[in-house]
Amino acid sequence: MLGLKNRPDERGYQLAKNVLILFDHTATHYLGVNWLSELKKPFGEAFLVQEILLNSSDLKPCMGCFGCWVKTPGKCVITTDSADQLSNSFIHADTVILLSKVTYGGYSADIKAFLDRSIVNISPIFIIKSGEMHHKKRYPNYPDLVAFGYGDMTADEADTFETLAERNALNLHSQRHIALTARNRGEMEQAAETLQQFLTKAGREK
Amino acid sequence: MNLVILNGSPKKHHSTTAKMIQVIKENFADDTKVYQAVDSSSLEQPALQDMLAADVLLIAFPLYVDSLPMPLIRVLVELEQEAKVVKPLPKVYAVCHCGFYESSQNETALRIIKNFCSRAGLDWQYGLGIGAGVFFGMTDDPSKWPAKTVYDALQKLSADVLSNQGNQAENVFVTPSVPRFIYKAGGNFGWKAQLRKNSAPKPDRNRAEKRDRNSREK
Repeated sequence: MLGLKNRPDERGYQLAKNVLILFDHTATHYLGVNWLSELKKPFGEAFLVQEILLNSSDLKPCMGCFGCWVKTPGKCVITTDSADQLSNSFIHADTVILLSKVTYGGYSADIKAFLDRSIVNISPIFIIKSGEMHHKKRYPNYPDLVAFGYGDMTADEADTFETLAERNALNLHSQRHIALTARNRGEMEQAAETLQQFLTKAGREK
Repeated sequence: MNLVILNGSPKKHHSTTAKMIQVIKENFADDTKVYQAVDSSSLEQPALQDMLAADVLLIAFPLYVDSLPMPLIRVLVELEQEAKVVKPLPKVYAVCHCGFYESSQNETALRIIKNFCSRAGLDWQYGLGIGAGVFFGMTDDPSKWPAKTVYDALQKLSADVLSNQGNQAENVFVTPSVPRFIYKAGGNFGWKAQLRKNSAPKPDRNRAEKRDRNSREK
C-alpha cells in the first residue's frame, strides 16, 4: 500500500517531511477502529507519506547470522522478501511511525519481523553511548521514531511500550522519539493530535 | 516435576541460547522437552498444550532489538489463546541474554514476558538477564572463569525450578567477570577480523548519500 503526496516548493526543493508509516495487519480493523486512518486524520497535506503494511508471514525471520554485518555490510543475506527494501525506506525517512498493536508491552509480530531485520542499518562496531554499550551508526542520519501502540492494554503494558520506544531510539540512533498509546477512538484522536505536534515541531527544528 | 523449555532463538543450531539451555537441562531428566519457537510446529496445538501442561515453562531467548525475537512473539500469542482452555497453568521463568555488556539491557524484554504471563494467566516467577552472552557461547567450559558468574546464575535458576515452589522474585542480572573495555575491544577486533576474512564489500553508501542529499535540500 503506497500513498504519496508530493509538495515541492517553487525551486523544486522538497519541503515536505518524509513520513514512513509501517503498520501491522490489524491496524485497519481492530476493536471497531481503523487506527491507521485515525492516525492520519490531522496530517493534511503537510507531509510526504508512505504507508506500508507489514505481515510477519511474508517477512522471513532474522536468522541471527550477522551476515548483514560481516558478509554483505548494510544488506540482509536473505534476498527473497522485501525487508531490504523496507530498510532502505526506513533510513531515507525523516520520521518512521511504527503503528503496532501493543503485544504484552512490545510490538506485534508483524512490526517486529521487520525491526529484527532492520539491523542492517547499524554497524556491528560497539561504542559507549549514554553510559551503555550500543552499536555504531552506519549512516550519518537516522529517522525520528514514533512508536504508536493501539488496542487493549494494561498500565504495565503501556509503560513497557514507552520504555521499549526509548530503548529503540537509543539503539537505532533516532535523535527524537515519542511513544503514543491509544485504547479507543477517543484516545486515538488525542494521540493523533500529539503526533501532529511532534511532526510539526520536528519540521521546524530541521 | 515436569519442565518444558521454549527456545526463542531464531538460530536453529549452535546458538548461545541452546548452550545455556544445555547447562540447565543437565539438572533435569534426559527427556526434558525443548521446543524451538522458530519451528512452525511450535505454533500448533499439540506443542502449545504440552508447554502449558508443564509444571514449569522456561523461556530462553536472545535479545533482538530491545525485545523478543519475532518467532517467539508469535508463539506467545498462540499460547495466550490456548491458555484460555487449559488449567492449571505453569510457572514461568525466563532467561534473556544480549551481546551488549550490560545485563540490564535485557530488562524490557523480561518485562514483556512478565506482561504476557499476567495476560495469559501463567504464574510468573522471575527472569535472568545476561550481559555479554557471547562469552558464554564461546567458552569451552562455561563453568570456569570468565563465564562462571553466568553458569552459577543458571544453576541457581535450575535449583529454583527443581524446588517446584513459588519463587516469585525480582529479576536477576549477571555479566561475565570481564571488564567492559576488554569485552568491547575484543568484540570490535572480532567484527573487523570477520569482515576481513569474508572480504566483505564496503557498505552501500548510496543509502547514506541519498540521505545526505535529502538533508541538504531541506
